[in-house]
Amino acid sequence: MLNFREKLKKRRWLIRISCVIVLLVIINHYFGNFLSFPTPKEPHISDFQMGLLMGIELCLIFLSFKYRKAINDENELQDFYNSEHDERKNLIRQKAGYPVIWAASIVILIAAIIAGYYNVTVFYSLAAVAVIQIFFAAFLKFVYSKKY
Amino acid sequence: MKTKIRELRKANKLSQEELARAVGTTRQTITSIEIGKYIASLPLAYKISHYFGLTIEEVFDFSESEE
Repeated sequence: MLNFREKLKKRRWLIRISCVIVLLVIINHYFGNFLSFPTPKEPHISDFQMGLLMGIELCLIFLSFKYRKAINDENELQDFYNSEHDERKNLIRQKAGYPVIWAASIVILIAAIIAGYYNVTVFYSLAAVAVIQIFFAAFLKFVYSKKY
Repeated sequence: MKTKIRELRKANKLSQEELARAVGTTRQTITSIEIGKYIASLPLAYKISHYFGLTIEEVFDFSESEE
């Protein structure tokens, strides 16, 4: 359990660093582009990117609080450990292809953001693929959680 | 697969949450095993049986899966 607590502490540091980076990019966008980032030609693509980053920021803040709670409370830590190593949950995640689909969706979303600087159609296609993949994985997870 | 987990739990006045925490799993997994939707792995079946001081065969009914 001590090892797991250390693992959570490391993960929390990574989350904090990501949080600061994302926040910096958001502040840069709304307060004068002091980092001199290129901006997409279409304004709505830039809005999509900011929306996505704000969503990621909120998720990171939520995760950070969740980890802090687990690190400071022994019972929470035990529950967190059990939940993360639960064989039924892992089976459902594997059956729904969660790890692969999430990794693929994140790569596709990054590609969509980069493509947004050059071509609007490619941006929409990639963003749609990523969103549909995530919804499909969530649907499969729901189906398998009812089955098992 | 049928199990005697629910009966053993009731006899020991244990909640699903308490049993789950004791054997290192979640309440949802215990529920699924009890209603026969999920078949526990050998290590988990051992942990549950060991917790009640019984053998795996005494807790889990393998007769249906053998057919």
